[in-house]
Amino acid sequence: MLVKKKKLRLGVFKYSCCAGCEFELIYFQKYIRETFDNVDIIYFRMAKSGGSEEGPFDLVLIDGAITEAWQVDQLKRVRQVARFLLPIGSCAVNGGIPAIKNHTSELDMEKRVYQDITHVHSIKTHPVDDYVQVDGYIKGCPMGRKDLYEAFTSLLLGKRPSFVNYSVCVECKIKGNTCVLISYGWPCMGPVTNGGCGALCPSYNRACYACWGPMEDANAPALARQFEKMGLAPDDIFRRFTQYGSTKPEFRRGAELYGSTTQPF
Amino acid sequence: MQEQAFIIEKDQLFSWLEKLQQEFLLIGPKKQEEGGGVAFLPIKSVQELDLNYTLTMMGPQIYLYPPEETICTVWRKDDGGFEVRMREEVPRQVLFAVRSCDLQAILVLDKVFLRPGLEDRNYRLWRENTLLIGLHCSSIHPQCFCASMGSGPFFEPRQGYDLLLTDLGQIGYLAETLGERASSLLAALKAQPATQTHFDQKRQIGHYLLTQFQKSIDTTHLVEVLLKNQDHPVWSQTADQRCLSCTNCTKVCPTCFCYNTKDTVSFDLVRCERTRYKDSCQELHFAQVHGANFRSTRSSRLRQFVTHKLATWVEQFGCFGCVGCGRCMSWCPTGIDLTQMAKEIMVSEGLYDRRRQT
Amino acid sequence: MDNPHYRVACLLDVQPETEDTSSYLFVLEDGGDFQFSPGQFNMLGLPGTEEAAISFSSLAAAGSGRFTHTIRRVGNVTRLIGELEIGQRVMVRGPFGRGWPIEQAVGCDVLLVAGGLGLAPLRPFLLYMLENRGQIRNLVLIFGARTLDDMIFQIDLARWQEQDEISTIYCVDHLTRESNLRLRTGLVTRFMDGLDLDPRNTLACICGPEIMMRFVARNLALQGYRQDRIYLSMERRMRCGTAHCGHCQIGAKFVCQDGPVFSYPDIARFADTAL
Repeated sequence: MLVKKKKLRLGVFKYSCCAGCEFELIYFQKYIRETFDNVDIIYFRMAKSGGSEEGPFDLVLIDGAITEAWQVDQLKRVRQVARFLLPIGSCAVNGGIPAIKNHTSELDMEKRVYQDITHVHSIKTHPVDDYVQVDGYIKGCPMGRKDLYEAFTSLLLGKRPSFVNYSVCVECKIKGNTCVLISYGWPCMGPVTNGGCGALCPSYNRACYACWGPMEDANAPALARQFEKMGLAPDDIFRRFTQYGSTKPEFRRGAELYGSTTQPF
Repeated sequence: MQEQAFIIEKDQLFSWLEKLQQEFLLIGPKKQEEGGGVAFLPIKSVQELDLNYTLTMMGPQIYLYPPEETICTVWRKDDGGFEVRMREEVPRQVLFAVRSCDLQAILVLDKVFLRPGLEDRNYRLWRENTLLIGLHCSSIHPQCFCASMGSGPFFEPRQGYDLLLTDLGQIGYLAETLGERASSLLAALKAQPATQTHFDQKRQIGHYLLTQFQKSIDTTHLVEVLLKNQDHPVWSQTADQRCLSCTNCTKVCPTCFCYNTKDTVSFDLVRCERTRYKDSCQELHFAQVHGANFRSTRSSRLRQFVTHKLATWVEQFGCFGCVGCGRCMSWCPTGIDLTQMAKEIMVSEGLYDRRRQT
Repeated sequence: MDNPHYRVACLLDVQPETEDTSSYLFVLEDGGDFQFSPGQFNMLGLPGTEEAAISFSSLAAAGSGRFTHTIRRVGNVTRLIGELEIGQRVMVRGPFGRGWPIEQAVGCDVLLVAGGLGLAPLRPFLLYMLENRGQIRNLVLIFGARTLDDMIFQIDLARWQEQDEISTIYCVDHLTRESNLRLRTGLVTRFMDGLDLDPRNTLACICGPEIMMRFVARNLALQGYRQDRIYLSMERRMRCGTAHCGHCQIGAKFVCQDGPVFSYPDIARFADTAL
């Protein structure tokens, strides 16, 4: 039989993030029974105490960006015992919110947050794929359920998952939303942002702010220049392209037209 | 084909539509809330109809070729076989007040999906269950250039629609029927037959509309010139500086037919739903196979869109893929205009005087 | 025909070809006949994997409902087909496309040039011509692969090199080990001069990676072979097979309907190919 009844051995590791993606996994309620029927949780600190880091895992989900050296060491060990490793959510996929600090010097940032920085050993924010090879990305902030569903069912079926890789505009058009960029002249990031959210913000008459990070090969400079024509100030444009995903070349190219993304350590 | 022409008073038409609603789902142009534009939506009461619209974002063809739909559902049976269930029925619907460009777009989709011997099952189901009622424009939007593409402002082909309306002002609508379905549905109205005067009036309106176009494109040498200039710098310049690969142009285009398929399986892997959704040649992965992407550059994807609509379509289907509705440029976030790109190429070929550009 | 029209086929036999490639023999489950011509293809799929376009690597056997596909296990569909056991089933649509121009071979010399897995779509054409050998003049096969271990149909290759009806040239990029096949080292284009063929009256059929087809076709054209009698089989992404989904378009051509076999000038005039 092609249909196999073998449970997936799941590991979930959390680094620097708000843990929203892990909550999303816990709240995967529509499929909670199916998930427990088909998934063995080997390591998932938020949901289950104990567990083994050593694996082996069929599927490892990595939540959060890398901002400390120990995280790199663990990540590399986990990769070696994981058949499939997927970063989940913007922080793990492209640095997300934690990467905003990359545009300030590290020392300034530490001083701003902590009174005593002698015990703080933070590094610049990096996405997971800067250190290990990944087998795909479950994008989103928090991660998209459609892609999570695709990841689980694909692995059960024994195929590579295919994740949403088109722009937010596609979902606006499917829904027939009025285009907030063209009709209202708002700086919507939808054209360069990866879809999957179901065009959530534009559906409620708000401009997309790119929380899912860049679509592959997005032309951010062209959109940044369009924002300038629409009257947006340079620092506003810079912020729009560095709020999420500024570690990815797609957005960095847009941001760098209006500010510097590289800061001394 | 049976053809008849009547004069229908406006009130008469609306009460006729209300009667149709008992049997059909009525879909027509409706003003959206909160400052949105007009869109083709299901109509509850005929008062909701906005018949003076010029351009909707999505064309009415989304009710014949939905942006997302199920092709089939497959079950794995216990004996290892498969049970495939196709879509068997669709609701009966009326597409009301479809403009000439969109009627032409539906004709184009017919050529794609209803090729003899190669009919797309779902499209045919939708098409057979849809009553298509056209309504000619009474004003021209600045982005319209249907006159250049031969698809407007009045719809000339005697095919594809059931009823074609022209607003003659006080007198009412000139209603031209095509086929028995429309004639029998209209019979109950006992409307007055149209006379030559009415057709003369229609022609005058047509002449007036032709003077209102602000955008045009010369199609005389378009096909040869575009095919000759597949490496023209306009592609890479426009692609690098302005194209976002957001795919809006192709999503709003009423003739774009490309689709991708997607299988969604249940957790127990027994049930699989195969859906298709409208895909776009502007998307990076569109022409990707294992180990190669045949259109990996943005400029090659942009060129594919423009040369397909304005040139290679003619060889494929004997007509232009562009109906001149102006949607792609209206809904492009950076305002890329395919007629401008075509004109730029014609200028470099010495076929177009730059000063004449509109 | 209504599209899509799915049929179910049952796996009868698997013949390993290379490390990641095997030939799979299927039979239609409904007991119906299955007619197809060399160069055509099927859309094969399983619930959950979508579909992949795979060409036939066998000749149609009238009335049997049987067909063979030679498949490299690289994508979702092909890997899962690779995991099938005998007796398990796949969903099939087809046959689609226009195959090799068999009728044009009559009375001509025929040159077949294949690279790697490209021999699979040419194999049924070659088998057909060997069956109808009297209708054509000289028959030459040039087949190149990276190494001996990448060569498919080695049983056929060994038989063909001993047959008088066909001249064969087998070449590899790297000679890794000896075998009963007479192998030369180099790319296929190195062995295309001085063939016993009449350039003005030769039908050339090429299948392989696009960049290889480019150099073979240009080489033949430079040697004075008639360009309109050079045919090549193109590969593109496909979702429907019926010229609806649009993915396989090259300029004005739908690879799934107008192809996959095209005459060289007919397809090289469009952009987005390596030709």
